[in-house]
Amino acid sequence: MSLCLAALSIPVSLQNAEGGRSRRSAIASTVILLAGLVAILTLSPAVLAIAIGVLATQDRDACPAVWSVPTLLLSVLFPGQTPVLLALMPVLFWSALVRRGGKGSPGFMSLLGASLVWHAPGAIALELITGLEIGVLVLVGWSIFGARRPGDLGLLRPVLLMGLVTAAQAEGLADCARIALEALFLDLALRGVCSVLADRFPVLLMACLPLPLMPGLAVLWLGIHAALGLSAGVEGWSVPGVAVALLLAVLGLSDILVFGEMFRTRQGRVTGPSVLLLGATGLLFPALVLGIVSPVLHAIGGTWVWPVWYLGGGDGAHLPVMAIVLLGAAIWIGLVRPWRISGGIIHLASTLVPALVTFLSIGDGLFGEPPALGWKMRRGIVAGRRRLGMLRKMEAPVLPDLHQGAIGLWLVLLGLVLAVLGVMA
Amino acid sequence: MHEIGMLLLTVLELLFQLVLLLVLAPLMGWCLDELPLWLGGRGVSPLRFRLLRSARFWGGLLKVPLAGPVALALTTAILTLSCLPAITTGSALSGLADPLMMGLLVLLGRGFLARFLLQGERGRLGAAFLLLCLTEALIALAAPGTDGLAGLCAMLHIEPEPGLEGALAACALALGIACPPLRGEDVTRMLCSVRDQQEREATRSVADILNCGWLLLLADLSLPVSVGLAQGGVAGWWLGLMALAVRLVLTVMVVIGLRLMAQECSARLTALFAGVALLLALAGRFGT
Repeated sequence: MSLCLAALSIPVSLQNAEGGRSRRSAIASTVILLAGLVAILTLSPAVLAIAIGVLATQDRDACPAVWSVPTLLLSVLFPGQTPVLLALMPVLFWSALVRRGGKGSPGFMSLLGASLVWHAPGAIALELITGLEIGVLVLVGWSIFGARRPGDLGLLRPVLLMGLVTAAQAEGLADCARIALEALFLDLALRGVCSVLADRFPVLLMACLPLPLMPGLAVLWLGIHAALGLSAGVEGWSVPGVAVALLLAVLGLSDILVFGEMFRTRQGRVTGPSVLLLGATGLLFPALVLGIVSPVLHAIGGTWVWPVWYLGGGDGAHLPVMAIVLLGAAIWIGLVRPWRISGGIIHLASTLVPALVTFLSIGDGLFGEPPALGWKMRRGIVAGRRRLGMLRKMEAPVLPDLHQGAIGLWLVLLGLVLAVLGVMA
Repeated sequence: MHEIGMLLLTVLELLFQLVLLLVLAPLMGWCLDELPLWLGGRGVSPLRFRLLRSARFWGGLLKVPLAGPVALALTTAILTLSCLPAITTGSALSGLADPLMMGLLVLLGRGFLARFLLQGERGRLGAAFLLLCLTEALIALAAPGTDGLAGLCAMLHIEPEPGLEGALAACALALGIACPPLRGEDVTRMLCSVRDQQEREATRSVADILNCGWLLLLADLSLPVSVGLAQGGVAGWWLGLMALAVRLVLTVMVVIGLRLMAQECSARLTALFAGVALLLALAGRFGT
């Protein structure tokens, strides 16, 4: 399982290596890759904390040290506890979701988050998922009131899905765990592959979206069915299951927002053949990924299945991906008859691009302006802000700038932690 | 030999369903556009113009191929009409009718129809996306083990579940409020930059077919029991056909009513009905 996650981390780090041309950024990306691999593969909480610390220092917009240092120390002292895991989430996703810098390695962070949840047997999945939901609600609310777009909330999806996997395993629902794991692997692989190839083929960004004929819909569908399978099988999960399904839908909408924006900036480089490549991705990608990871899925539960023609939802439902794509392609080709047009199917495929861009502008108006509130609420908000400002004026302990000599600092911290552990033992 | 005969029957039913719905599409489009005017006492254009336009569109389709995006919109509409269970659950493709997939197909078709998104269309599509996910979740919650809409219809025949049926009806109502079918004036606004006469007519006809697909989805969601069973025989098939007509008429009436009362796209009502659906489904689950 860990090995599989580690293998998935390589494409993400490749993207980092390609992004930076200079020697310095190459070194940085190697450090990130090594630290990430250590963090994903390791079982020792102390090493994990160090690795996350090193990762955090590689990022300019990382979580403030006031929060990250105590949290990492706590994660060493109480490994695998739910509150600590939840407290680690801001450390991982600060730069992507709060600062929206995009300079770090957000894909890596979601991998790391999923692997953290996997290595935390003591965590209670229900509390973890509730915490994640509250976090997403806060982020969405913040961006609504701030009248700006939220960050890439889809990064939280692997963590959420891994939470479902551990919950289903704890309840003994092997099928359900398997479905959630299928969704997780599909999501991680999609993000990894698409972010690596996005420079060459920007149209592949579309494959991550929850639209019909795209593999992103399979992720959403599998996630919904895993969550609801859990709520059908376990008594206490009825309401949280539906809430997780809705949360997945919200994350899907946020994906449309984020990828639509990215797609539009690279629209000029989209060609006809790459649209056909997108169609082929929709047709083959789920079967390919699930085929490759099927040994891991088999180890988690259920019989050995390689879903090619349709994906099973674990509860008797099926998503006929391949049939719909093939049928749609046949009807479309019959309607446009490419053999009667100069340029053929490649020209026709390139005419789809402007329509795609139009469709992806769905999210434009959603975060355009802040909602108009009544005077009473405004007064309350202003009073709250004033109080916050007074809090901020209080003297805060000044921490050293962690970008310089980051690894040394973290080694010192490791020594401290080991000393504490020795004293406790 | 018997199996080949049964397979042929399912394919025949699929073709009949598709042709019937494609013929009904301009009729439903006329009802959606003109009935509110007629009820308001204003003059309406005759139905035969719509039917002629649709006939011209299909005739022209055989001679000249369509443009890429409009063809994709028509593809999604045809896929929806052929996969959704309409008369009985025994048609060849009814196993593919996953509600989330079908709904998103129609929404995708709507997005591809226009060269730009209409004002307000963004909010409608987003809300419809969330509601479709809710519908899928409620079906998986209240009736685990069913496979798509056809499986749900078959299961409700055997084991009625009022909680789920009420929840689905509320979901369908919320969908109808949040994302009403495209109107004639919407399509006119979409076409303001298109000069080509043939493309204008094609877009209007495709909009009618997409509306038909959307209304069929809403009708199937709100009254899943009225879809006949595959094993019903000839009498069951006729009953299914009648039920299809009644279901579609009811849906069109409700949509027109929402239009006349100016309740379309009302965020409050959408949230209210989505909440009602959630409560009904959860009450049904805890009640059993």
